[in-house]
Amino acid sequence: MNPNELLEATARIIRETVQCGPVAITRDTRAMDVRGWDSLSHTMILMNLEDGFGVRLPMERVLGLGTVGDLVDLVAELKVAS
Amino acid sequence: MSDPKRRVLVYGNCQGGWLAQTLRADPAVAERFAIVYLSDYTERPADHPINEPDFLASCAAVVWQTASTSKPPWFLSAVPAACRQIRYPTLWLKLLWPTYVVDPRNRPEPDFPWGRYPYGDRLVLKLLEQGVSLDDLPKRYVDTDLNTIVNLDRFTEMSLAELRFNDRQSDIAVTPYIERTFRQRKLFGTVNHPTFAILNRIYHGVASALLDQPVPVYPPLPGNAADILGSVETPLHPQIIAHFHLTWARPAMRWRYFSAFLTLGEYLRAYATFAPIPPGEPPPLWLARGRQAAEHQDLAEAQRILLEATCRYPAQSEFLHYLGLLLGRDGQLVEAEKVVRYALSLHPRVASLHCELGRLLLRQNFPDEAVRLFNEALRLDPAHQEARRQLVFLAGQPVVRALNAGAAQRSVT
Repeated sequence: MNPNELLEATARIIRETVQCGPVAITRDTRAMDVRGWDSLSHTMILMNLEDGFGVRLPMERVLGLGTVGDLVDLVAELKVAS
Repeated sequence: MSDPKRRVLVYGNCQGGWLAQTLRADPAVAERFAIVYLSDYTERPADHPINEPDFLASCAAVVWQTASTSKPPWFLSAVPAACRQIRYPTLWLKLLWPTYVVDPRNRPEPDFPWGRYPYGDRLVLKLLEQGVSLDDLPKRYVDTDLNTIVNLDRFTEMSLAELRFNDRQSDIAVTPYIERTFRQRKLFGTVNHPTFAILNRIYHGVASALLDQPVPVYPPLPGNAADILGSVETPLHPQIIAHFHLTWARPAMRWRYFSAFLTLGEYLRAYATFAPIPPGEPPPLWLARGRQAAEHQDLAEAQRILLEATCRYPAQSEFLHYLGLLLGRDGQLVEAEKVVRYALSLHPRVASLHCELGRLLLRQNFPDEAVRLFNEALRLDPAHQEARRQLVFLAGQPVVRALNAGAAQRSVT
């Protein structure tokens, strides 16, 4: 999966989890930019990313991330490591 | 003369609002500090003292709320080094509501600033999408294995890790208390609306830090002491109650939703149709909540609810009456008597209170006083059956026969 495909797959998981409809999600997108992506639904997004990509997200690292791009990079790193 | 009190800025969501209100109500804090609340809902509100040029310099402390998913306050870089900072965590408990989602149908309305259903449920939405009828919805909801929606163990693990992370960003840790207590006690009414039980931990930590000494564990009670923040509770899925072995919750219990007190099934049907439930907190709602707590053998919770209801509705006598009844049933006769006497001082013309006090005094072996109270109840309400029944019963008791005879003799002489 190349970086663009990873970004698109991440965006799809976020959209499906928060049921926000077809909004644009880029590397720079933050939670506050997406309707429904609040602090409470954040954990569910992380779980669905784990399920979708077959990785286990270390909470210590994931909770400090700011953008979708940060999330995508972490997932890419974990996928390579696995 | 200017106010010598230093200001303390309390910043955060509605939990911060409660904290500010509670700190203001604490005489020890209020004596030294003027508490100013700033909501984090609006960035840079126009009509707030924080816009004054020297506001932050005038603060002895800034108390601000942290969360794993939110940025530090926008004004933080302007806080002078001499100003103390006290950080407290945002309170939430995601693990009890793993199906939470922002419902796309929810929108602010004049009567519902946060929408009719600010706490959506992905399982309900999924069942509706599958065409499940309204009649079948509650059963299908309960029967669906939650682990097919979310891996409960991993979700719990992540939720707790996040809480611990929040603690580490704060000066007050609540996660050990949450982990220790959430099975035995209701700490949250919704995923992010805590009860007094846990808010008190935050208050205690902040007040102790401000005063540089430990404060009493129980603060002076503000208006919402017996309540959750907000006006709604989100019913728990029965599998969650079973999964975590929650002792305070039951699948058949009722949940407060604005002015209604609903079973899970009633709530699911209302939520599925997005039916508006009128806002408000009518007295019957409070009485029903008190009754449910009593039925669940939680006398302390019942007492908190009934006293809170009394404060909100001082013209209603039934809350104190019911509390007296509960305390009496619990064998706390002296406490029960105090409560009913207090109720009578507020409502001297309520026959059932006279009758209740009479019953309590009878149990404490004061039959003459009891008879007087039953008679007074009947004078106020000649149809009061319990007072009449008690008098009929007592008329057969030797001590009362003697009393009656004495009274008759005195009236002759």
